[in-house]
Amino acid sequence: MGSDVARNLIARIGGVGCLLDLSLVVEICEQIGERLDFSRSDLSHGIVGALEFRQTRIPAVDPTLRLELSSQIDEKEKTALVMKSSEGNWAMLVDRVEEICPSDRLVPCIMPPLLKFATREYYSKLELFQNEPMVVLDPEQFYGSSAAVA
Amino acid sequence: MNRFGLFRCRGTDFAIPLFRLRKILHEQQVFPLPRLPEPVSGVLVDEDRIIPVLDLPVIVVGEKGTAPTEYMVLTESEYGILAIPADITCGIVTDQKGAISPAAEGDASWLTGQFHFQDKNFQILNIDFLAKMLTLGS
Repeated sequence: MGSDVARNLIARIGGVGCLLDLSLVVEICEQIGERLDFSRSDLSHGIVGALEFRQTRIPAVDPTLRLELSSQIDEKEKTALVMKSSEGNWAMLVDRVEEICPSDRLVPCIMPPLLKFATREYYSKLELFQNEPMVVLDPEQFYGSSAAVA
Repeated sequence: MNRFGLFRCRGTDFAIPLFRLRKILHEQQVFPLPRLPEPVSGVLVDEDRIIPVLDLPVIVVGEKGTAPTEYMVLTESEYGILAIPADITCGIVTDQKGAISPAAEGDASWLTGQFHFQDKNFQILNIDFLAKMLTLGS
């Protein structure tokens, strides 16, 4: 039996918990080492390489660049989340996927007014999961014509 | 009669006017978030609210306060609540038990004066100024 409750993917990026709308995730790819080609990159757009996915190559974006986070995980050891967008599939590299959780397990919270100015270009929403703040990521901020240049 | 909440952070004694003090939390977990302004070391969660944690050592001595502190002093500013780390809390005292000297010309803007109490000089924090610094990220 289906459920109307939206589901979210919880990923860890540079030590920070992040939330993505699961309906935008096409596939979760682990052990991407050999499938990631670093010779095709555009760092000004956060694209660190090309990921081989279903007999094609899609841009692989590392969100730590735009978010200025530091990850201990080597790019080849990361997990790729293949995302769908109006401009085609692309991959978001994350340290690891932690959980898939329904929205009703998240507690909405207000972005502190003191932080709004500094963070508004990068994220504007936080939710609590097991009392930990999670950054709600908007994939369009990271890839596509509406994404900001790093 | 005014009252101050007194605490110590990284070897420096501080005072906050009591009407600014909201609560003191013990052993609170601080979470990182991306793109926080420079004087913010992370955030904590209190009653489902996210509270920015001010990195007081960065402001006072220009060094990042990497070590966790035992307490978090939650203070109310004009711009919202912020948490200030504290190693020791020293209680609440009335200004009559000590002497206040206003900040001198050339003193840091985050300082409104000093409260002299029991042979110690407690730096009285200008909470609104600190909060404003935080919003500007400098």
